[in-house]
Amino acid sequence: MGKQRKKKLKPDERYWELHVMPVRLSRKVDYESRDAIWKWRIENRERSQADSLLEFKMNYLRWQVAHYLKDNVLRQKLTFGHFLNEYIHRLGRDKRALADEISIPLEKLEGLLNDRILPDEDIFHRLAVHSNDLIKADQWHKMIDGRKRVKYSNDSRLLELARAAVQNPIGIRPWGK
Amino acid sequence: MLIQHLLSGDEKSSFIEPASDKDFTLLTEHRYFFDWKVYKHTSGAYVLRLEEGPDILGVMTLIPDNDEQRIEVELLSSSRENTGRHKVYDRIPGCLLAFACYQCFLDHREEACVSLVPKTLLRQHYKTKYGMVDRGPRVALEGPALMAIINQYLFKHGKTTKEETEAG
Repeated sequence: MGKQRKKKLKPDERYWELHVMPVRLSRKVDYESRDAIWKWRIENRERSQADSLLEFKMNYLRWQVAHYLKDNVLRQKLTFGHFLNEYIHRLGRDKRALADEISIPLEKLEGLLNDRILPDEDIFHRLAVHSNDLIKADQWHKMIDGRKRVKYSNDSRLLELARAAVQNPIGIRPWGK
Repeated sequence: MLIQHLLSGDEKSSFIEPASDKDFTLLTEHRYFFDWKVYKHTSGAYVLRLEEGPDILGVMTLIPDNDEQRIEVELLSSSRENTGRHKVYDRIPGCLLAFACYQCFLDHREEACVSLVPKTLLRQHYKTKYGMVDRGPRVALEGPALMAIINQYLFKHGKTTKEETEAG
């Protein structure tokens, strides 16, 4: 029996006449492209109004955190302190101001930023309240290595305490809600 | 919205609406270059048709990403007789793209952004014709360029959807 060769069409040939073809990007390329679009949109906002720029920057951080935590694989450099630094940097606040706003001593905040102090459940809730749930308490919790991680429970009593402790939370709306 | 009959130069009224189950039986791979039935149970497929008849001239699928306030045009196609040098009607892809921009604008106002992964051959075309910007494998559109597309294709000569046409 002779071999039957069936010509397989490459996607490019098969879908040649489509204006936009079905393309499956690799995870890495997809991330890089989305990231590039975020950065481009932020550049555009820098030329316009400051409020919109801040909203973009904070939602960009929210997107980066969500993307990072999706797989539950932590990287050495991307610690809790790293994201807290990013949070302060993108907000344009100084450390003292944030420490005052979430009602913790400055030394403790510096320890958290350097990953010298392990945050507790109360800190996760305070940061979540301060960020207007842009980064949720369980997301702050997941940034910490599982071996060092303190327990986390979605305790409504703690949330109430955090709400009472936090002053001047950011008024930025999380996109996608 | 108006599309142009190239032979006569006449402008014909058209509208875009979500693809119905019945539409998917018309969307054959032979005429629309793709097995569109795979989108039958999703909500992101839209068809463009003339007001004077039920024929589908163009079809696209959209993926909204609310977290990024962006809509991705996943697939876009004109019918077989409306592609290439001897196409019957012009402006079909432009109207479909503008509709995607308009949908995104309704949801996200000035933060709206539309992107797509173009074919290599058409990348430059998207940039020059629609003002899209290269961002990795994607090209994207936002701000004044996005508004310009909406104005040019949806509002300059007509109305957007069938409902609005009927209402007007």
